Amino acid sequence: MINKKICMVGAFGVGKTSLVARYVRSIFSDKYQTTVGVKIDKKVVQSCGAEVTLVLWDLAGEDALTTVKPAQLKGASGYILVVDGLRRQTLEVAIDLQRRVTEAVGKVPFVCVLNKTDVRETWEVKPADLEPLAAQRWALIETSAKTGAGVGELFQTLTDAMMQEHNATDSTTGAVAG
Amino acid sequence: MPPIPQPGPSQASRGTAETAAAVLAAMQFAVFEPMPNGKFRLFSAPPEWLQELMPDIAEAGECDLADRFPLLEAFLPEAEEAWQKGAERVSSELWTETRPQGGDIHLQAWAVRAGGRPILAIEVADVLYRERQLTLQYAHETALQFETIQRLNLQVQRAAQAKSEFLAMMSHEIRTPMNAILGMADLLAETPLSSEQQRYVAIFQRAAASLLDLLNDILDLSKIEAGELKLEAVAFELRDVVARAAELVGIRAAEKGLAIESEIAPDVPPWLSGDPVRLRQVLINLLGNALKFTETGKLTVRIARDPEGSDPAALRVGVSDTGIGIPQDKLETIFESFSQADSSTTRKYGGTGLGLSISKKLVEAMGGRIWVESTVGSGSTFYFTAKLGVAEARPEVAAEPMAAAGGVRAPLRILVADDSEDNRFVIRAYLKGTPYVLDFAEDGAIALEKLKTRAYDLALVDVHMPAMDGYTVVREFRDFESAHGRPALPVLALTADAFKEAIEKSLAAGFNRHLAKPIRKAALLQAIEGHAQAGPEPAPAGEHEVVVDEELSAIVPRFLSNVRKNPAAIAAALARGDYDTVRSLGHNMKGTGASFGLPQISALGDRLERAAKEQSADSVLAANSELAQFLDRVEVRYR
Repeated sequence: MINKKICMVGAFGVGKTSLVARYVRSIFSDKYQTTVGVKIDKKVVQSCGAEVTLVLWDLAGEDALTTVKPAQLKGASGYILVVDGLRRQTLEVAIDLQRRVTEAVGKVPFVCVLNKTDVRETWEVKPADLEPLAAQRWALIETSAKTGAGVGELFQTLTDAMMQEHNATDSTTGAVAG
Repeated sequence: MPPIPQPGPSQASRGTAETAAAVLAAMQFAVFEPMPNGKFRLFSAPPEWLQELMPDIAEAGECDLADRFPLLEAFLPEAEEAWQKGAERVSSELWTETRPQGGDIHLQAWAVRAGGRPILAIEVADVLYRERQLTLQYAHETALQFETIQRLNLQVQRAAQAKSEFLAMMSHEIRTPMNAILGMADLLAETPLSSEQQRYVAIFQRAAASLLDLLNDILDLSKIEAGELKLEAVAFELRDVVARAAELVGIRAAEKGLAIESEIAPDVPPWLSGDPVRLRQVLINLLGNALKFTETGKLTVRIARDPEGSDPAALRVGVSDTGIGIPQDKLETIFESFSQADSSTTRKYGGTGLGLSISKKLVEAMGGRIWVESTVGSGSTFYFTAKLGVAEARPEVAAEPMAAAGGVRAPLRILVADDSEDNRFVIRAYLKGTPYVLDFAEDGAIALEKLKTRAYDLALVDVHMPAMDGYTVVREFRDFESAHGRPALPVLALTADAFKEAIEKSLAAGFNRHLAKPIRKAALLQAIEGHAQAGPEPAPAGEHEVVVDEELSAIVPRFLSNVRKNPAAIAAALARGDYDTVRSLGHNMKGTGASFGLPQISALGDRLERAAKEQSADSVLAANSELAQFLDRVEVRYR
């Protein structure tokens, strides 16, 4: 059985917990509930012909007093940077987090998700804001935890990327061992 | 976490650890002991919540706790360190698991030593979680609300700005053809018309003028609303401002047989500091409003010191009429945009309903307020207050450049740059009958090229042109002039925008003057004459005197006697429709006049040649008559 740790990171109120709730339990609540500490969930999925248990670490959103700790990130095979399309500064938080997560766990697969497509007409984040990220080959996926749009694709994309990495590492290890 | 019974250092015993575990278990803690193989052994009976999360825990004996509770992966290294160091206790952060039957459970782990042995205790921390969540949630919701307010604020600001930009653009787009309409109406009025036609043209002019008033008001209001209003702080004489406002409205008042009276209290300082243009605008708006609704009686302006203000320059102004009055229930709303007391009012009395709204905003910008007191049937008094400054000294009044006296004009070469063909036509028509030689440019790039390569005495440049706007043209041309040591050419800006900000922008770009469209003929002529005099060309010595180089003294008299035959020859040629002869005579004079020190003859020759080319009998007649007059009066003096 393969276990893969995925960290959900981003500013507070961007919808990290809602994305996990939508993905794992197919539910959504409009009521905002701040996450304290870490919320752990698991989900078994298929990827690259294997069964994988995703261990989802939903980390408390960043604010002036709360920052992601390296100990929480340790062992992550991938992470999801969550941005609220309505709030431009959450994109800046995500860009900064990407740097800090890379420092903590090295280069592991990640997806940057622009959440809240159900209210896209009022988005503050504009396509031009994303161009530099696309130029750096960031995987950008738009989702709505409310409607479920893009949520399955988000986790599947990241899982597939992690599994490709996993299989590549296995074959590399094998080659070295052989 | 309650205090745990701690044995003395040398009395470590299983009994003491078990006592501690029993205390903790009674408090619903799950108590574990780390095993050398990295697994954990349950130390006491499992609490209910643990059995719910790990149903086989009682039988299993040992378990891989980090596998069941991944959060412990992050905490165990810290716990290990604490056990090693003998630290009293350390706790993990709060974490949340999902119960098998649904719902969240909030947990916290503790690493402690009891009876000298390491113990891992996990407790349900729902209460602590809720407490922390409440605090954080309050902070986050407040921050989100603040962000939302900021965002909405920005959206409102952007929408207001977009609206005002749209209005400004529309006004400009409408003003450009209006320039042609008003210009043509004025020109038409100057031609021989039957009385019926004169009446039609007068209506045409009046309608165009009121449309222009509406445009000005909309543009003004949109600028004020966009926060672009900047008040001047210059010294002015209050009496003069009142007199000029009364004079302007007085013309229309006299048509209705109404008088305008004004009274300024003796303790009001005669010289004040503020924005006289905007103050006059408020007075004109209020007087104009009063006039509209008054058929008999009079209009009165009374100015006194504001009884509620201590500053001597805080004024209270009242504009009273003897008109129809305003119903009580409308007194509050009449200062709002487009809200005359009754929509039928607009139809009956005219006006845009914007004047009072603009006045209110202007008065507020002057630190005052506006209100009205009215009795239906006997009249209204509009009051406003304004906080102005007292001017210390009477300012020096700079002499305005005056138009050339007697209608004699120097034959200037003028470049007209405007992308609108109609507006070029209007300027051409306005300057018909003057000795000015006009050259045209259809866009900014052409204008700049012509300015650099040809000699002009003055240029009229439209500010809004495609490709290269007038500001860029004049800026680049000024750079060119200074790089080539050329004297500065007078360049006048033509624009639809009459406000102070636009004027400042024009002057900053390098224009000598700002002419607001629609430009009336008299204003254009006055501006050209004013600037031509201020320009580098020396003014003629006398009204009809021309100064010519001494060395030409032998040939100029014969040249003049030849040219003096031309007006008669041209008149005869015109009478038989022989434009070729007119053109040829014009062409000759154009080519020779300046060589004999008489550029006026060249200019008139040029006009005759063009008029003949266009087969315009009127233009030929006009130019020929000017030529005859010039030749009759000219006195040549040699130097």
